[in-house]
This record gives sequence, structure tokens and C-alpha cells, in this order.
Amino acid sequence: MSLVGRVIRAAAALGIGLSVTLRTMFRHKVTVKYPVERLPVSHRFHGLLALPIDPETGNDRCIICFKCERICPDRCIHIEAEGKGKERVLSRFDIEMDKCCYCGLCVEVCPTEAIVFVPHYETSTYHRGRLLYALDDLHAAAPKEPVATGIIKRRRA
Amino acid sequence: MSTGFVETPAGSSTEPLPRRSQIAPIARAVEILDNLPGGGLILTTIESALNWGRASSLWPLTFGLACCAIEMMAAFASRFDLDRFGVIPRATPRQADLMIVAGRCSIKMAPIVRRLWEQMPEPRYVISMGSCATCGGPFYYDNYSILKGIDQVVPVDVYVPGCPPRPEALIEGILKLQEQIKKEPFLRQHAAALAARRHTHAPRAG
Amino acid sequence: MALRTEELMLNMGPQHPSTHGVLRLVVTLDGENIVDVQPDIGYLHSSVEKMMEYRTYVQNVALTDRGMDYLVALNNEEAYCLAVETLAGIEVPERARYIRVLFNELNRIASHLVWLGTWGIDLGATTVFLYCFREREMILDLFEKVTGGRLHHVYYRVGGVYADFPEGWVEECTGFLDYFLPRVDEYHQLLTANPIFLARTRGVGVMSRQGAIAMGASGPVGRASGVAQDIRKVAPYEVYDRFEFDVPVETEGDCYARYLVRMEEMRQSVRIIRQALRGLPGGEIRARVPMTMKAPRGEVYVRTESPRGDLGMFLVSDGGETPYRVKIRAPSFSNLYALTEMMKGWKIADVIAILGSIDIVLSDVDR
Repeated sequence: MSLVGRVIRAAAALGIGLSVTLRTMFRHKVTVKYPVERLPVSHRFHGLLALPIDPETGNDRCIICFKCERICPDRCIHIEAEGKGKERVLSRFDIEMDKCCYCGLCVEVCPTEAIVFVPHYETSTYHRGRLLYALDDLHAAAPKEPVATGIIKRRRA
Repeated sequence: MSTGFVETPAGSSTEPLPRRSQIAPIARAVEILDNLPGGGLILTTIESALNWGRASSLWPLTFGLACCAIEMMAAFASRFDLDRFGVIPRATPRQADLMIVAGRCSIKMAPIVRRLWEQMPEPRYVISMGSCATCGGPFYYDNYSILKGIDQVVPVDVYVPGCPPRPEALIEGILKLQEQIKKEPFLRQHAAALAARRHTHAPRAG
Repeated sequence: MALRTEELMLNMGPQHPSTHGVLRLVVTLDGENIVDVQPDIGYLHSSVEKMMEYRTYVQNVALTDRGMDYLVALNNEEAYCLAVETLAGIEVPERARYIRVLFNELNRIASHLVWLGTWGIDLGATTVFLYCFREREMILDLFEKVTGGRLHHVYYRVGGVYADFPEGWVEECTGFLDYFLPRVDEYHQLLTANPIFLARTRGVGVMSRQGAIAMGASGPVGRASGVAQDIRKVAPYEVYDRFEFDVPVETEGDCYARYLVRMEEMRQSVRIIRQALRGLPGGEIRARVPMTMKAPRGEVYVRTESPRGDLGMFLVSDGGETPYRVKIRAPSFSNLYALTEMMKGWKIADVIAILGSIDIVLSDVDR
């Protein structure tokens, strides 16, 4: 190919490429200005784990069956209970959020929907110890109204 | 557990000592200014201006280890666009002042992470992104090859949990780090460190 | 005195902006020409095969996402679940099979988009990276609405899938496909005619058909060298035999051919997704499998077509709750060693172009 022909072909290819970028300039912008505006997060999003409080009883729905502790592939849930029979109460419910892999198996096996995902992800800390979520933290992490409707709806259907 | 190399305590003498002529001007200027009446105010103002500049141009090292690196790339890409915060990825540790450890770090990789961190100029910061970098995450138990947390080899400033964290979560972590940087008494710390080093390593007379 | 040249040994990586992870290449150079390339792997070894021996069959799904090829989590889950189902003789409902095919192909598009974007950056075309990730985010949004995860899903279960689509998802997915096909043309417009791109890829890193077979290269790398093998066609799993799609094959074996194969694969994936959405049957999405399932004694090997190539899963069970032994046949591993064949005789500047074109994921190589 002659030099002139190559130059013309290169210029044509450049023109085609630039026309694509020009067209994109006039399309809607995709950038989300994050701290100011937020993307809508799906109800099923695997964010933080939480123990929502049942408005009827004023306590969480955990029945201390240890199913989530057993299924957890990372062994990051630690449950301890006190008392016997009907008076058994939770004395410890810790989730190591730094070890958790947010797989959702615990949410799936829970028979009473006591442990749920909340679509909340802004949890970075300066200290690693803060990522150990005790019972109070898990209660506090839960929103007041049930947000994980995607999962709960599917169960009840 | 052992990571295969000797940890050096902070402020050790692995780096070459700065010459006296290099130390003197900054440290002495800070010292004099701090002792003047009203000088502390001026110093703090200068400091906050400097800190604003440092916090607004955090250049991270493009250093992806595993899955979280993909989310880090997504954070640099069109939708989240970390350039808005002055966070521009650099390919070499010499130009970077932030290291985002994204993903699990194996024991074979740990000395290299440490060396990269040592190659970065001070002041330097580390963000541990994701469960694996924070403590080994899913690879904590029954595993012989993954380091149980990157803080065994480098000091970490901000931990971002998630597996992997959303790009927004990483951005939030970077914003947290910026807040921390803005509060730092940068000049005074710098002067004090230099003075301490001069004090300990001052050549004996005679 | 005769002029004598000496060979130079050059280390690339493990921290290098374009080695796509923690790969170390020991390159032996004669001037600018590559004499030999030896990949040094193991910087991301996560011992996932050993870990799977200590996790139950249900828990292992979470590990296949992270320990194996992290860009294609769903295809890994597919291989694992298929192996366990074959071993235990579990019948997967029809709808779940369709959903799995659909998500495999969506993930294939997402994976190829990451490859195209990062390869574009390696070759100096930053625009493609931004465009590819724009489309990829849309796929991740689709994933997030169904599976709850962006990169790691834990969506497939032994015997089906975890959850059904939310309302309006199918329409959204169709809308995305309509949006996506013209974008593939845009990538072609940006790259295919570009003389710089052509000069860096066409005729570079040639691997012959014999070489590809000898090195065990599979997937797009093998198909670009004329090895017309696609597990979806030659040994169909799930419901791939019900769909019409073409397997793109090129014979040149250079970087450009690998590029063309992947670009065409994206279009074919769109075709498969369209057919899967149209033929989506109703009914159950999950067979009744207890959370503490046990697989009978025996062993099984399944092959699936991951976006990188032939992904195999070998599973041995001693009748307990956990697998006795797991071996993963990783496509990236074989493709990485085909690299030594491809690179000999090329210039040092071509290393990045060739390395990017075989699209390896280090997590898949090391496991």
C-alpha cells in the first residue's frame, strides 16, 4: 500500500473512532456523584448482617438453633446461650464482619428470619476491632422497617 | 504466625539518615514559629492548607491482588470515577502515597507487599480493602497459604469490609482517610520526627 | 574480535501494572528479542482445593466464587454444582437450568468486557476501558437485583438456584441486550480499523493449531488457533443443546484472531440469552436437597465452558458430608503455559499485548 493510501486509511479510522466518542459525549452521563447522590441498591443486596427487632415482642426473633453458626463457611458467627428450656436467652451473638464473606447462607437457613441482610455498605473503620459486631451492634444495624423484602417475600410466598 | 521475614520497628534506622543541612531549615522554622506569640495559629493555618492539598491528591498505587482489584478498577472506571477526588492511579510506588491492598495476600506475596510499602515516600497510607486483606476472610481457617490479615506486614489506616466491597464502600473508605489526613498535625509531626532523629544520631563531638 | 551478544534476564512483576494480577514473568532477552519466557506462578495460591475438603457440599459454593476464577463466579458455581449433582444423581428443575444458562452467558459477557477494557488500556486505548466498564456495571446491576452480589453471588445451589427473578427483571434484561449489541459495534469502530491497534496485534504472538493442541490451550485461545472445540457444543451440559448459536473459529492464531473470537462470542452470548429468556419455562427453581446433603461414594469429572476455556471439576466422595478430594482443571493455567510458545521470537514490547490477549486470571492459575 502506498504511503498516501495508508495515511488516508489511518485518518478515516481515526475519524470513525472519534465519532464514537463524540456521540457518547451527547448521551446521558453515567457517573454517579457518590457522596452526594447514591445509586439505588437492590433489596437483595448482600450488605451488612443484622438482627432486626420484632415490634411485637420488642426482642429479636432468634430462637438459638445454631443453624447459622453451623452453616457459615467462614465460621464467623459465634452464639452462646444461657438457661434451659423456655428460658433460654442469647448471651452472645457475635459476627466477625471482617471475616464474613457475605455469602448469605446464614440468611437462607434461618428458620425465623432473625438474621437478615440490610443493603447498607458504608462500614469502613479505622480499627479492625470495630468490625466485631456484638448483639447490640447487630440490633442497631437493623433498620426500623424491614428492608430485606426481596428475601422475606419469597419465603412467605 | 511467621511471615517469613523480620519485622523492623517503626522509625528504625533502615533508611539513610538525612544530612544536617536538610533537617535544619524545616525543623528550625517550625520550632521558631511555634514559639512566637500567635505563631501556633499561623502554623496551624499553614498545616491545614497543606493537609487540604495532601488529602485532595491521594495517589494510590495500582496494586491489585485478587477479586477486590476488579471492584477497585470499577471504582476508577466511568460510573464511580475516583478522579473526582483527585485519586489518580499511579503505576509505581515511588509516585504513590496510598496503597490499596485489594484482595487476599499469600505468604509468598507478603514480602513484596512490604517492599512496595517501603518504597513509597512518606507520608504513606494503606487501605485494606475487603475481608481477605483485613484478616484472611474466607481463607482464615484450614488454609496454609494466605496471610491472615495484611496488617501483619504493613500498618493499615482504614479497613473496608466487604467481599468484595462495593466501589462506593471503597470511596467511603478513601473519604474516611481524607478526613484523617486533614486532622493530622503534619508539620509538627514532621519536625518532631526529624528532631528526634537528629538527637539520637547526632555525631559525637571529639 | 568477533562481536558477541549476551542474553539478558528481565523480571516482570509480580507488581506490574499490566500483568493482570500477581504474575511474575522471567523473560530472557537477546537485545529486544525474546528468547524465552518462564511464568512464575503461585503468588495468589489460596489452597482452595484443600479447603474444599473441609467444607460441606453446600458451603463449598461460597468458596468456588472466590478461590477460583473471580471474574466468572457463576461459571465456577456451575461447574461445581454440576459435579455434585452428577455425583448424587440430583435432577435439576427445568426452569433452574434455563436460569443457569442465562446467568452463565451474562457472566461471560461481563468477563469479556473486563478483558477488552484492560487489554485496551495495555495497548493504549483508555476509552475502551471506560466504555466496557460502563456496560459491565449494567450487567452487575442485573446480577445484584437477582443474586444480591455484584462479583460473588453464591446464587447456584446444589439442585437449582437460590431465588427467582424479581418483577420486571426479564424486561430489564431484554432492554439491556437491545442496548448492548450496538455497543459491540462501537468497540469494533474504536479498535478494529485502528492502524495502531492492528499494528500491535495482527500477526503478533502466533500460535499454530498443533501448538495449541499440544499445550492444552482451550477456549477463545484455542479457537483462535483453529481448534474448533466448545464444550457447549461437543458435550452439552444443562440445556445448551436446545439453543442455536455459532462457535466463532479463526485460523490465524494471532492476538487479533483472539480478539475477534471474543468479540463474536459476546454476540453469540446475547443470542443465547435471548433464546433462554424466550423459552423460560415456569415451575420450580430448586430440587429438594437438604442443607446437610451427603454424596454417595464415587468420583466424577465434569467439563464446562468457562469464558477462559475448558473448566473441569473432579470430585471424589467417600460418602460423607464433605468431598474427599477436589481437583480443578483451570483453563487459565493451560493457557498461561501456551504463552511460552507464543512469545518466542517477538519483541519485548509485544509481551504485554500477547499476555493481555490470552486473558488469564491469576486466581484461576494458582487456585
